[in-house]
Amino acid sequence: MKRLAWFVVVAALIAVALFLLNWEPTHPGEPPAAAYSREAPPERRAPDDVPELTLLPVAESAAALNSSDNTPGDDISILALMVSYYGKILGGNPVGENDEITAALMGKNSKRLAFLPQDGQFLDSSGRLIDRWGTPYFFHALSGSKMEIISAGVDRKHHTEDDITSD
Amino acid sequence: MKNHQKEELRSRRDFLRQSACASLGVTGLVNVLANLRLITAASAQGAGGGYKALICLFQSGGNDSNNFLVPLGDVGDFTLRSDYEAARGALALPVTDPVTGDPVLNPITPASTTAFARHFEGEAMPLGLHPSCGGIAEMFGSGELALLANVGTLSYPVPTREDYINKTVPVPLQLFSHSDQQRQWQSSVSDKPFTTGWGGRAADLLNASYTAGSKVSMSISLAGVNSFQVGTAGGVAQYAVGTNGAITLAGYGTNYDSAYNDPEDTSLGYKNSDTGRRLEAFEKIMNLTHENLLEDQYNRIIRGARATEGGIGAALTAAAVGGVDFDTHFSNAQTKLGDQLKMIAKLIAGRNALGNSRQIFFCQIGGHDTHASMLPAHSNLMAELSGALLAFRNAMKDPGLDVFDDVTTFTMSDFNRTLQANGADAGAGSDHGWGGHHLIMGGSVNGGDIYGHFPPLKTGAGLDSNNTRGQFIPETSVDQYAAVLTKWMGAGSSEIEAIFPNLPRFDDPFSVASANLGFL
Repeated sequence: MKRLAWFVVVAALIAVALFLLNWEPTHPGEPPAAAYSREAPPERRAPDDVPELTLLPVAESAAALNSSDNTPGDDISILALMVSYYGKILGGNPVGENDEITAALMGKNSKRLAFLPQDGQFLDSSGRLIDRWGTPYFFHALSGSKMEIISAGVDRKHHTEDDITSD
Repeated sequence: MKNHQKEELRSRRDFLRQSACASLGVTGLVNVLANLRLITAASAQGAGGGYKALICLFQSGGNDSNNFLVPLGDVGDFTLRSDYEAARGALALPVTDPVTGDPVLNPITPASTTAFARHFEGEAMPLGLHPSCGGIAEMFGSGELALLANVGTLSYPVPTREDYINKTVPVPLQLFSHSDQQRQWQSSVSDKPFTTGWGGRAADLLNASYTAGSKVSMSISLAGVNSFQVGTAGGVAQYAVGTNGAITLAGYGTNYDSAYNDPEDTSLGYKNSDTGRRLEAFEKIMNLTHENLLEDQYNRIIRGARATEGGIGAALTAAAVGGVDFDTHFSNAQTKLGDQLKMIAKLIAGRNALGNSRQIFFCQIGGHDTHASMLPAHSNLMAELSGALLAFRNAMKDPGLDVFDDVTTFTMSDFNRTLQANGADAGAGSDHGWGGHHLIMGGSVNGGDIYGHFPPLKTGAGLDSNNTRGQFIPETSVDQYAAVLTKWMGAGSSEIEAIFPNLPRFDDPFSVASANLGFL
């Protein structure tokens, strides 16, 4: 008889514990919690050690940008080469507007690789790549590996006849 | 029964055997889809239901939907309008004509204020559609068309612009690039390289249930090969049709009239000419069987295409005698898009000859990459869109056809464009943006309302991922948008889960009311 009583007590305790484990508080007027919950994005923590900025050899060619020794077409070819290197090393071209692409080329990327020096006559005060007439380039992303780079040309207006475009 | 139908109607024993083998090492979307296809095939015997067609209308190049759905009202009263004018500059569409004072835009009155709950405290903002979109505004007003605000490619929800700037949440690969964003809209999977389109995956899973008497693929394209209808290997292949009907073999005249004595009755033989003899020889070669599997498959594809030509021809013949005057319906829509939708309307009219009770169509209108002289170019595009959709609606509602409730048309595009103009003069355009507005049209659509969440139009703040340009972070993902459309086509929850592997990352469009996606 005692054994049976103990059994009943233990079973009751287990039942209460299971109930409490599954119980969620609700408040008057609050709808029950939705059964649906979104899958959370992967946690992104800042790396413990931020790597030093590495200036790549290709950045040396930036010295020739907007110089009198170069043609406007040469300037665009140099930039196209940098974008191409970036795409190959980082798995896709830099994305965004001129300022974002310039920042990425200057080292704001996951590998902290700089394809451009940190300053030079190829930058304006807003951190944008500019042509020899001082107009920011227009970067036209056709795909993840193909980017048109367009200079506004002498008239400093984009989408006019004197625009100079990468191949 | 044709061989390809037998293949679809697999026995339960086949299914159990194959899925047991597959379950030993199944991972990834392709395997999930393959298994579900088997399950669907095994359970589809006897399934059916009424006809439904889903039409994807792709606005290639990135439609500037900032000038499709436009804030109205007085600048002093509505910050939405003042933010619009401040950012758009030369691209801002006026509320009234400066000379006549007449209204320029087509005002719309949404049935609810839900789309304004998140950013405008539920206060309805006055909105209008582009001046060339009178037809679309008319259909919105009559409850036949709905709008979905600020939808776009997403890998995960991006809660704030700081999350985008600080890269705390993964974002789609190669944002702002044409081809990548086109493929991501068409695949719904924006964090992995393209493999299949969501239209193709949907067709793969629905095929067994709805194509018992099929004479043509469930996936028909009016715009050539596309990513949207790419299915898994061995699944439904897309079939391209021209605006004049089946795309026949070149060099034999229109509908082979240079080669057959009577193209309508090929049993009357070939013409006694070089062209006739050439087609006869070609067909004999294509009817040969080969030991080499590649050669044999090549011949099978050609034979299949020729057989499908006959099915398309039969459908068009049926449409021609069905009593619907398509030429009249499309008399004001004689454009590239109008011609595509006209052919789709004819194929829907001849649907019994095609034998599918589910059909997915793809059509496309190009020219939206309006970096320069946007206003006139965009006006033409909007006129073409509105005119073609109105004509298509009229054809679908024609008493001789009366299938408007069974046909749903929706738009997609690479991206919206920057709210900020890229110049100050009349030659200005807009550049690549992100989230934009889209439309859904059909008799089953809960029309006359705006779904999703209309965004605030402040640049460098709110939802702008950029400091100045107005590239708005979408608040509804392509996955959510597409899942609602696919469910309407008959996909069950397990199929939707397989077609849209990233959907669980977003609010469930079917059970989370705040997602505001009840447009179907």
